[in-house]
Amino acid sequence: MSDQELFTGLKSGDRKSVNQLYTQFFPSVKRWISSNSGNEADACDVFQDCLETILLKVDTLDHNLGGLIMLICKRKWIDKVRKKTRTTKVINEESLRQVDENVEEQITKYEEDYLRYQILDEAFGKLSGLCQKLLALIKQGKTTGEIQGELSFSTANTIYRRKSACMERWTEYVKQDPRYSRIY
Amino acid sequence: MQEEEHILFEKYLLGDLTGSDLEAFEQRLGSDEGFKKDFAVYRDMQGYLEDKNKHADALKNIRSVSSERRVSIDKGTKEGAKQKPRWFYYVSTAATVLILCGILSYFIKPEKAVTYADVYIEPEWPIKRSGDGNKFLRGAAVQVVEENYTGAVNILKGSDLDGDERDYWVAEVFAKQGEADSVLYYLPDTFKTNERRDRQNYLKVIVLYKLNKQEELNKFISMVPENTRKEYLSIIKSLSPN
Repeated sequence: MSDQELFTGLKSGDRKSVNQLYTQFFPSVKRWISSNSGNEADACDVFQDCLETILLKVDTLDHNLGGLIMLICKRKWIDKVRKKTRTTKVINEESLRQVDENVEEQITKYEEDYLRYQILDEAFGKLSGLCQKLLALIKQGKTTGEIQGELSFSTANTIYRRKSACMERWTEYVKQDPRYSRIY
Repeated sequence: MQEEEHILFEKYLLGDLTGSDLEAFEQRLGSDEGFKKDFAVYRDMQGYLEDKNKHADALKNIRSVSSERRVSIDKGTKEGAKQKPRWFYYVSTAATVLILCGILSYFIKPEKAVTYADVYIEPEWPIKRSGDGNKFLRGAAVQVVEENYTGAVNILKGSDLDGDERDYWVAEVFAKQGEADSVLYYLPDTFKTNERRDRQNYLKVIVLYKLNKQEELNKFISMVPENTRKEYLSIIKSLSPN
């Protein structure tokens, strides 16, 4: 499969493409992370984060897919190690410096967007199941009647009251995140 | 207050604000930093919900393939560990070790080294159904009891626990297995209660000890508060390299 086919497959939720991405690119990510204080399980976490970043935040594929994956993974791993050990010496960062400035800038943007997504996602995960479902249904454009039926709300007014309470709680959780000030 | 703001934000995003209302809104965006941030959060929340709907299947796919990969990694590790040499290799190795130990113990009387297993104390796994315990945490604890540690970690990673709480319990699972590096990796720096502080400090000490990080261990022990729970404090002090 070509890079573009893999990228499109990833975006469209094609399982074969995700497997192919693992087969093709995971070994080099694993090698790099293993030689920089990590192990295969760490590489797996980073690789998954990387694929999610590409899925959610990369709209068009302007670079070589393998290179993009490797760069995103390296940066994610460096961030993780820094966060835990508070040192920058653990990893040889030289390999990152050889990257074209434009690419670097673009990846920083993907990373920031994905961090924003993670903050929102983790805060969303703290909401009750009912809140999560309600907000998702509203966003899907379901009618008041459909939502009432699906969530067994007695009146349409309950939907609006609940929605407002859920949004407020979600906002609070987002603001409580220690990374909030880095993004907003 | 927030509800009113949210209604206003929604109207703006839908293009329903016009005339002087629109002008006032944009002026406030330019001058009121707090309002601007609140709007950015609200806009991102809407974007998040859109992304979540749009990519739900693809995300599920990535997570499921990754989880399969993780399981095969764990399986591979276990299988690797299962590849044992033949019985006579064991017997001959054991015999050699016994003979060597006998000779050495005749000449040297070493102090008995404290092992990780000697100092590890199990946490109280939140396994009981009574109370308001988190269902993921309970599920993970059950897996630990059944010695399915990978299962426990996977449940915790996919749980709705807040970041530090989740990381703490993941660290506990690794501590139970004696995987010191992973404990250090997941152990949070913050704590909500003194009880948790004592437990986290204790875990950090025993894994630093296991990793033989003398300098770091010494430094860390010197910072452990004196009002630490006695049970932990006595172990912590006994592991001090000084």
